[in-house]
Amino acid sequence: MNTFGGPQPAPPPGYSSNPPPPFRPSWAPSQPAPARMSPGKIVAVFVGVLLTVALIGGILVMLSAPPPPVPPCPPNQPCAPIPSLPPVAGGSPLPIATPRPQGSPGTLPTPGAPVPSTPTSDSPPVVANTLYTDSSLGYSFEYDPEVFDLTDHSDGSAVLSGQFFDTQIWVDATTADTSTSKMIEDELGFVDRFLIARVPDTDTYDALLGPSIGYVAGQGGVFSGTLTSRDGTPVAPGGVALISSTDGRITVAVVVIVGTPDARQGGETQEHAVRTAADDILKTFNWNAQ
Amino acid sequence: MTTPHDEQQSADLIKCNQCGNEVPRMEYCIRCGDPLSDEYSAEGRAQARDRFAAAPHEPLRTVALISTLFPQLPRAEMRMFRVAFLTGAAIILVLTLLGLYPVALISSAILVPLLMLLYIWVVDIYEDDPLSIIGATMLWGVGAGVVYGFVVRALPNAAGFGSQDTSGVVLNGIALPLLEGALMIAGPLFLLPQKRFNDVLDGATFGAASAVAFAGTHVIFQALPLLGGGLRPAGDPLTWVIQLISLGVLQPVIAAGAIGSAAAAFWLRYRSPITDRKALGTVGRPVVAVISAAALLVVAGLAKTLLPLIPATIVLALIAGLALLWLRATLHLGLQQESREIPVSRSIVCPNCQHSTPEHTFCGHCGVALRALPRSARPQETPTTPPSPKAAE
Repeated sequence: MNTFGGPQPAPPPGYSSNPPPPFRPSWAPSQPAPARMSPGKIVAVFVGVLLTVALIGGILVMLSAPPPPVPPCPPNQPCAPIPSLPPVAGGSPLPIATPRPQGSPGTLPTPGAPVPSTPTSDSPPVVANTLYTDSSLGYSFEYDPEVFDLTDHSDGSAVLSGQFFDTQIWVDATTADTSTSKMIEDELGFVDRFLIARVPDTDTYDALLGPSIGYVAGQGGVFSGTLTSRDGTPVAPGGVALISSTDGRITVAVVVIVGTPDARQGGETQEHAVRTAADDILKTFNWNAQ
Repeated sequence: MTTPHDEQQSADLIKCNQCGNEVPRMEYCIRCGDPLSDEYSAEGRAQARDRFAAAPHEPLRTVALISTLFPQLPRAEMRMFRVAFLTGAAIILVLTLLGLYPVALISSAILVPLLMLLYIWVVDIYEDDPLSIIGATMLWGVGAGVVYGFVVRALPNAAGFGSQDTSGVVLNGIALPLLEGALMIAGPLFLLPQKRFNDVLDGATFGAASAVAFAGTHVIFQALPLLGGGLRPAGDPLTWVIQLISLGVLQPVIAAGAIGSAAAAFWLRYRSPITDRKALGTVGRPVVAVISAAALLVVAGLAKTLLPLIPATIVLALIAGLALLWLRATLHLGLQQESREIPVSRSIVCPNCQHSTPEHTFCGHCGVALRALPRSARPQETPTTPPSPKAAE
């Protein structure tokens, strides 16, 4: 068939205008098949295999998913902490009268006499763990060296990596020229480099209650997403809790990053376990360590 | 001195504008597969039309995923492979919009490798020894992907937290992509000494198959902890769509284009029946091809390391297009150079269109590359061949 619309070209030299007898080996089918299956079956097989793999993957994911976290207190009921000490045998001790301070007459302060100053202590502060001090901005905090390693630090920045959890805590500080909201924005921009599809974590179980750093109230948020590996491949679910506070001299942000945050550690999620450990650091934060 | 017979014979031939050879007057050039319609409408007017040798209905310089990655498909199957690819992509999109990210990730990781596996099986490329060939290419890619996953996990700070200093950029953007490239091409090169695989298409297929299997396996292996995070982990669907386009399409295509081209260069240089190696130009030099492939992988690695997701995805899309064009050009040049080494001999029935055509590189009726057809569909030699035209060389 001529598809050009013009006259049929003459056959090449050595050919007749009739098609030559087609060559086929004796074992070959009468019509050479260019493919093993019809074109329609190709799509059907491909889609079938793809859906089957997706279904198997979905079942495996469902089977390996962690159970939802159990709240420590039943909802809508008074929640009392569990006693930490066993009751003393034999009942409660009887009340003992507290001795009153013994003062002799005439020892009352005389009006106009100098008031004694507040007593000061020259003993060093109690340091229960390892103290990290940033002399450039004058702050410090303590961390438990059996839980965290100080993996990186520079002026205004320290990175603690968990020994038992897939976690990191960043403690970043700058002068108070940077507001807490700007600090949070900058930190989240950096988090987005390795936590894709980040969305706010609206689960009340994960909510931040009274965010503060070193007893200075601040603002913060909790986010969920997926951590990526060095080459950008998603590797694990990730959770990020972030707090920023300022005392008017410096602004500090603490970022807690947890891999597979819903994995169980004892009776609580990994994210809660890490945030409990991070709380111990936040409580020791000293804004004036110059 | 020309005889009347020679003049008559010359009048029955036409000069193909694409390859410059005198070929029989048929619908397509039997040497390069170019449609001869222009030559018929304006005899002697040189008007080169760059048509892809493995799919003459497509331009050479175009970004076409299916005809480049699967060049040995007949046209009807090529259309169905496009439909299959788009259907698979639609399924992944739906899974992502439903928030089933782990399932969508698994599906996207196997999208291109599954097409490659189907391609190798459907067209029966290596009917004589399919298991060892597929094993040496795709299974190598799977094994190498697992090994690479272990290496990445063993690196300190494997989760990617923390600051991205210079050493991190060098490791993530340069060293790891080079390691990927070395692992992907090592398997196909084991097949290079086997003389029965002597087409440029063999090298390209081995390289591309190894690369896409590596890419898919590596993604699944790396993402195993993600599978334990529940069926619908929290996340923004739009970001996931972009990420899955990158992981499921762009990165396998970059790997397949780069490694397929590099492997094809090895086959062109050491296995193709080409006497004049200089005719291949720089694309036929394995050293140049390997360096170019490494450069593509490193640029892609640096983009993933240094850029946020959306800019990185745009850069990866550009690199993927470049890789496809390179692979296409390599296949085209290889097929054309190989065709010049083959004399016109007998008449055969084209397995693609069922018309009679002189046995050479391309069908004179439908223009399909006969070497690009499955081996099972290629005609066999026989002593009872019809009379053949005189070779035009």
